[in-house]
Amino acid sequence: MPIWQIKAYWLAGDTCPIQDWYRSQDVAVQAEFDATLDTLTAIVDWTDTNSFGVLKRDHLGLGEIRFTVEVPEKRRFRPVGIWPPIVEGEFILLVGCEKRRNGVLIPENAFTLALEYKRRFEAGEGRTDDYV
Amino acid sequence: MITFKGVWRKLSNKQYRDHYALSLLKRSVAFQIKTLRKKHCGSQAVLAERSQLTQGVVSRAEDQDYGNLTFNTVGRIAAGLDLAFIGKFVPFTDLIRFSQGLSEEELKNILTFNEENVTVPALELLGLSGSSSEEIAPPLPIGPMPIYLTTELVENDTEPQNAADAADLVRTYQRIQPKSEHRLLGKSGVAYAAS
Repeated sequence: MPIWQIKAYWLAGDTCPIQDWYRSQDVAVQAEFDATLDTLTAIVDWTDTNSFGVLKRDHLGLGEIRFTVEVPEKRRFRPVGIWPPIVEGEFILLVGCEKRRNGVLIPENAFTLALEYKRRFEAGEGRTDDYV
Repeated sequence: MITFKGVWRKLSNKQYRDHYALSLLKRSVAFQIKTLRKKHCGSQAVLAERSQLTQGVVSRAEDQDYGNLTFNTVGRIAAGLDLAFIGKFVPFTDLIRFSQGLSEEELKNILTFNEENVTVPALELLGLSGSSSEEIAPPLPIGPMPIYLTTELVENDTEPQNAADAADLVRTYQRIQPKSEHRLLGKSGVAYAAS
């Protein structure tokens, strides 16, 4: 059985940024993302895998899922989320993100946006639901 | 929790399921190697030595994004872990069950050959230890194993009535193919040997 549960954050207006991002991606990216999550949920300690990274400095409190898609060319993706300390084994996806070779994020404000959604979530705004 | 139905809906897209199955293959193998390496070998260097590979190759094998492992490398790593790796074609329902059942804890319960040989008599596992479930198979011999040729009795074959009959029958096979050691597998799963 999976050790972690993956959730999606829904804004108060009932839109889900991570679902919207997911739907806008190629099928290859969607499949790679899902397979990455499937293996991550089986791992107890996410800090011991290169499929996950804890963000620092200005983006402290966020974590990024890391995966690459090689078809047709190599692209790196970094969807961002949080793991509330009060709920053990739960990771909440906030926004999707691609990291280009020169370090540029798409969308450019992905991490800032994620911090804003984190703030809203902690203020009790919006809701979470199973990531499907 | 992601439901079976939810995953199945995604898999109905051929392009998606092609990518997903490939991605899960490369990620789950890397995940298993890393988990099993930590349990059985500790460091990558130890597994590399036992597998007769370089540490760099082991490191790449544990990288979920890599995906270019060869059968030879996986086979050597399996040998280094003293486990077997089986590649198997399955329907997509099995793929879903596999992905939802992935767990570090379950992997840690996989026994090496020696662990298995101590805890469960291996011949009994294969149904070759005799008719009685209480009969304990002898420990496996140390050193090179003889090559056995196993002949299974099927519906119209006559099951030997006693040990002498069985030994006679096995010797008959032995005469036909003298370079192999024969075993006869009875319809009930009982194994007979020449002596």
